[in-house]
Amino acid sequence: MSLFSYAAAQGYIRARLSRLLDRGTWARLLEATTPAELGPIIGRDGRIRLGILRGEVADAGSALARFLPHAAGELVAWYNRRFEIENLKTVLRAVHYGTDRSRALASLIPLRATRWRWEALVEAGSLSSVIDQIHGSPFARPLEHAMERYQQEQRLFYLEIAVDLFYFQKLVRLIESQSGQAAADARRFLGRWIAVQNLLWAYRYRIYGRMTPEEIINYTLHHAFAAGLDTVQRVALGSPLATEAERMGFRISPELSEVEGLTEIELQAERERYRYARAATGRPMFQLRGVLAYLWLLEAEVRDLTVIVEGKRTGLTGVEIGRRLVRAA
Amino acid sequence: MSMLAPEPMIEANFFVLEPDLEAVTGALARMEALHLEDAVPEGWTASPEWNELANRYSGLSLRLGEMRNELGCRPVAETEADGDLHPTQDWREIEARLVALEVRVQSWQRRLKETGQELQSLKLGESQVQLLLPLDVPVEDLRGLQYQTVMVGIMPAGNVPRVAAALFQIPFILIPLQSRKDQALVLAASSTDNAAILDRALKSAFFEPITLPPEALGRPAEALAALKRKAGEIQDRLNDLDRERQKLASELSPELNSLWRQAAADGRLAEAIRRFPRHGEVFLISGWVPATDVDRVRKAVESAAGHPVAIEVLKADPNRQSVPTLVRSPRWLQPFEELVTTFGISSYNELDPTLIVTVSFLIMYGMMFGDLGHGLLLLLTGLWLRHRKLQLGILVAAAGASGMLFGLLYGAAFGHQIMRAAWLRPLDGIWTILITAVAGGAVLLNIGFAMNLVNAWRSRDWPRLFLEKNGVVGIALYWTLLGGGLGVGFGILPARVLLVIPVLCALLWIHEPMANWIWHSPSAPMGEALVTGFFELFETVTGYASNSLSFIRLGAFAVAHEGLSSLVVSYSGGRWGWLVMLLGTVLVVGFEGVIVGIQALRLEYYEFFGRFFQGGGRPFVPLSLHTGGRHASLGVRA
Repeated sequence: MSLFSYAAAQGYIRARLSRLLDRGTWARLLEATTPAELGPIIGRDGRIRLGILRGEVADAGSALARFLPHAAGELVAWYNRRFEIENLKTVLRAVHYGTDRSRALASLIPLRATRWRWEALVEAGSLSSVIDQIHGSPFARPLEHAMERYQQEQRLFYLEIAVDLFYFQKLVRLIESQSGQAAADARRFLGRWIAVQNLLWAYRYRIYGRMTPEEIINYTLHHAFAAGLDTVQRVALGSPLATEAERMGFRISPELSEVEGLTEIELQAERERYRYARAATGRPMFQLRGVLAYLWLLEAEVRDLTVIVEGKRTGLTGVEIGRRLVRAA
Repeated sequence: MSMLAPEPMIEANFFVLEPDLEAVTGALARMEALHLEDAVPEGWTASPEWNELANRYSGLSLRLGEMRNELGCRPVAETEADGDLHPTQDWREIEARLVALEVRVQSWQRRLKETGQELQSLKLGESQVQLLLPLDVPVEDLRGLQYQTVMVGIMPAGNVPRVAAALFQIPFILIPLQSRKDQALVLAASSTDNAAILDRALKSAFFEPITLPPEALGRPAEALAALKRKAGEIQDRLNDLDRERQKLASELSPELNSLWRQAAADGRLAEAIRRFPRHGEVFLISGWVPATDVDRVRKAVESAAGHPVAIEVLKADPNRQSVPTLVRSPRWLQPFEELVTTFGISSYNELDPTLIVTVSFLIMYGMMFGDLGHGLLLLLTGLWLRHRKLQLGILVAAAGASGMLFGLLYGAAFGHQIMRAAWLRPLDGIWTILITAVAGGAVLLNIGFAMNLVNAWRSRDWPRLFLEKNGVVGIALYWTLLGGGLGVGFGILPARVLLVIPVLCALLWIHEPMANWIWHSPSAPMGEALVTGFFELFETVTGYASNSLSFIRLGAFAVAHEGLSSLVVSYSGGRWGWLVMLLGTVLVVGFEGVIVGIQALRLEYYEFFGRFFQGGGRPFVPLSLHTGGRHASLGVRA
């Protein structure tokens, strides 16, 4: 049965793979001298609106989730909800800081498949009202749990981390509920991604947040494949970044500071993801890996476009920008 | 063409004087024929006062909505507000009436909130004291220990093991006392020296400490009885408050609903006007209007305005502008639109494939699922789904009807041959049905080719029209390979016809540099273009064969369906035959029904859409006074 479900997904992916930007286009994007020149190169009118591109990735994810067999479909649908979370965080920030309504709306990713009325959420006068409006969604309860702490200290961090932890814990459970080849694919693609995220979180809390060990442990995942509780405890107790990075298979130069090291790990992880995804699209795709690979390629494309747009805005040269791209590897 | 081609759009700019702004915007919103665009010409400025007004209305709507929810008012449709709309003035009256309503419910709200909190705190106290029942000491003696830090509180149940992991550096006690929903009542203790670590660990796990209510005095059993008595009294007060709510709801609902509708409509108007730039007294309303509606819109605007309105209409230039897509699909076609929109929305330059996809999907589905009985079951399932307000129901019902039609052609019902097949029995004519499937596929691919030519023509994309794999050269190659091959094979055409193949292949190979030479279209460097061109050529030629043969599955599934159904029939004799028949039919309809749907969808998306459809459009969403507007009647994909 799953083979047939994947057939429709494969039809969708194969029809769309050819639309990923080719090497020539990337070269022309890097050669462009101003951000205004970028849009026409990729066939868009005017400037590139990154939010819209991200919305298209989200749309592809929700379309594909509908084709897949139940367990895999549930996993991909949940994985795709990261865009909804991103929007939810934008709303929380807008309400917390009292951001201008139109600016907040412009920062949202346009999602075709969404359960919430984002305009109404942005207009909610308080964070309690935001939570009331998303009542019944899985993210309402974690936010309610964190609300007391937020009200005491007025720090958005508690709300954001509550949602993130809930999202990733469920993602881990869904990965672990897969069977057969889908389980292997989910672990290889998503499990690795989660582990890297967890490692980066732990170090960021230690380096930027100067958090205590117990806080670091409470704000990270305990089941995160290659970087679970043991790793987090070591990080919390002061394990050097290079050591933990090496355990995860990343090599970072000893000359780099811990802050630079984090950026380097992030880039290496993104490139590794990209390589996996490229390799997977060259093989028969009647598996979950084909779907995840396509979504990753799409996301990598948007990520690289973001780097180019931002790079052009800040006046970086094509060579400098090229060094920061995922596809440079 | 009207069902295939999007409505021609006209860019319309209305220069409106401030006194006419509300009336003109109101008229445009009522017509639902203008898709607004944000345009800020040089020297024009935004209108912060309208921004403020839009925020004011959204605040009013929110307050009205909250009050309706609290009182449990029945949901009402967002119908049009009565009378003319004047957002600059209406808010005053709405605000005044809302404040009067708020005053009426204020006392009830305050009492409800306080009573609810009181009850919640007592219930928590009850659960704590309940745990102390085995102890025979007064509750007040447990407060204020000297060498131990003991904390009781609630936290998300999932965080209990996380706290235990976080306290890995100190000795501690962590006892989950009770769980309710996803919350756990927890007792945590450590030595006073480690109190700070315990506190940090608990706080970072969203632990909320609770203190015993002052009513809890004496031995635990006595304290518990006192708390229960008090809780009973509070519950009675809550019941009284609920009766008061029902009374308030019946009294206030009509006014609340009317205000809510008015605020929503005014808010939408203010929201739209907020986007209009102004230059002194003049406001610019800019957007897209379907060409057929331009005169109607012009008349409505002129009659709504008290002063002259300058209206500028410009032809759309889809190569320079992102023009929204409006396809006026007939009502019967709308349930099938999702077959296309799941993949993408057609852009302004593209033909909308919904009609062709609907017809071809149903034919392919019926061909693979041809059986009068099975089709009927699917039809009934679809009608039932539709009855449950699921849009998908119509698609399922239509697929069932198509299955029934092909069932007549195959002469089959529930796997039995009940009549002479009007066309053939798939198992008796395997070759015929397989060849028909491939031929049908070739027809669909050629429709795709044709649509690509039209789309390329509409976009003035000459390389795509002439040189690319789905353009003139590609189609010629496809036909030379297919038609020429068959013609030569059957001796109808001379073999030299095939000599044209290398020429067409060469053209396809060098299409990118050639397009660059003729039309100066962007191209990779010559070497790179030739290398990628070679591989693309290889992929194209093999693709023509594999794309056509891909449709063979239509015939194969038809044969498999009949085979599987016959198998069920052959085992359905004897005492338990009816059970075999029932389970077999459920399996065939449920399992195969889904599979053939997916297969048909795959053929549409990959084989058919791959020829011509980009799907990067954006829907025409007209300015309207209510959510969604009358989009359905306009056939808008929103």
